[in-house]
Amino acid sequence: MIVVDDVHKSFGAADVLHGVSFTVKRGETVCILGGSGGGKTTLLKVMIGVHKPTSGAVAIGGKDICCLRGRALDEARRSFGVMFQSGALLNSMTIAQNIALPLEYHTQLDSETIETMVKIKLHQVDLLHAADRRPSEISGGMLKRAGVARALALDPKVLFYDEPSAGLDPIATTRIDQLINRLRDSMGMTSVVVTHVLESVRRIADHIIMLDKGLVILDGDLDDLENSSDPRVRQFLTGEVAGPNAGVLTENQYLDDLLM
Amino acid sequence: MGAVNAVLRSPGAFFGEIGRISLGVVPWAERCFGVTGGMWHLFMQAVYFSTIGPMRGESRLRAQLFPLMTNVGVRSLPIVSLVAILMGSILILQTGDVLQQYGQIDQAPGMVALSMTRELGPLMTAIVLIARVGASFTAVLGSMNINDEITALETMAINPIGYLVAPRILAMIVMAPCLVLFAYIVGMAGGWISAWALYDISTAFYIRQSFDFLSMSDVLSGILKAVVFSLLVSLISCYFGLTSKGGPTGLGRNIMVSVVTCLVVVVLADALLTALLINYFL
Repeated sequence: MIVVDDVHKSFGAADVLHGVSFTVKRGETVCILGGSGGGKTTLLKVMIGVHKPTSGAVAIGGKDICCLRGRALDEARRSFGVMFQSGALLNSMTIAQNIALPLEYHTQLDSETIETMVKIKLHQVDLLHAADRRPSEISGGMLKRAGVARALALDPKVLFYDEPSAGLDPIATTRIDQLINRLRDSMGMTSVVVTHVLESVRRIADHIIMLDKGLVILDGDLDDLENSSDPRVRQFLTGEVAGPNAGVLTENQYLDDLLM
Repeated sequence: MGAVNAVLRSPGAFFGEIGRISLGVVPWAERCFGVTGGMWHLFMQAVYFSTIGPMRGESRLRAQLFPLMTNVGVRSLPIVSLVAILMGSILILQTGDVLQQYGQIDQAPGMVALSMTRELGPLMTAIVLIARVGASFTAVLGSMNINDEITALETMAINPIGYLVAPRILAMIVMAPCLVLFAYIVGMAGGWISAWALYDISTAFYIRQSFDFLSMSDVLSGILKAVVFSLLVSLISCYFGLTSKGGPTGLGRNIMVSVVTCLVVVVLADALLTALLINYFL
């Protein structure tokens, strides 16, 4: 369904991704894990065509999204939905209007059918009661679910989630996780979830990709993650400060930094 | 003073200073060309999404256009009226005594009519639109950019220029001439209030004198200016909104840069257009 092939991405002199490759099968939920600054969000933005990779390719349903431009890129984008970390709903509209927007723009449906479809999408994420509220009037968890509803508007085959649990309490996090699982089980949705919340990963992941400094250090399932002997993976799992990603300078590094 | 002392200490440093200043100009010029190129690109895209885009189903202007026209036009009417009525009044207050000394107070209505149509109507309306509408365009688009709303539109295969910029430019181009026409009338009315109250000029005489002085080319030159100013203001303010980054500080900076750029560019365009119109049209 999705093939990420040797993707490199640099911003000026900063190399963020160093040859990332993996495959996502139809109907599975893939979690892209990693610490802050590991390249997760950059990889997601490359996968959804917001950033062009320095080299490499990302194919979604057989189409290389990195080579597409203009109408061809727009057509490819209609085959997937994206839920942003902040929800990224248009603040000038109500929740229902936000969900109706892609339908009004890309379909010839009449307003009554669009209204019905919006209700179906809102019902899928348990937000029917908030249809007429504005994004500024609802909670963080509701914003994210509204973001999922909007991403579902055009009935995509693939959904991308950027940090769906960030900033949410445990109950709201579980609710989002249940929603991701429900979409997979009921609609066969392929999901790519960028996260660093281990509890979520344990609840939703069929496949795990772990990134560290722009490199894939783990490509497997939950058992592979739990049983990995890689010290970088172990440190992420245990959350200990001491380890390969300690961010603590050795005495010599400290002196070099001071005297440079 | 530090730089001056360095120059005085060593003759070589003098050339060093010139080199440093010259090199400092290069990035500034690069930035200017970059911004101008970016605006040109934005303009061409906006033209595409206002003309060919709707026919090919790539942009839908109608839903966005009418609320924006209400915001740009109808909601700007009170402030445009206030400014125009005061400008008309001030023109009589400033010139009335001098005109009366020379026995030319009868010319005052014509002077107000000409000033309002050729210059003050379009210029003051543009300044009101910069402050009220241009700044809000930059703020809205900038905050949308910072909140990932623009990226979200792109991922929904909705072109942000077609959806956000093209209707804003169209709304400005349609409504600014209407506001300027309104400013003509209100400005002349403002002049009449002062002329009637201070110099006892009758209403009928004021109206007749105003229209004797005016020609259609005066009215049209002001409308042309309004179209050019509204295009420039909407383009500049949308460009600085879409290129906002760096959180609230960056957004605040871009709003300031946008307003200042709009003011400078409008005054420059006004000077250029006035020179052209006076030589070839009026």
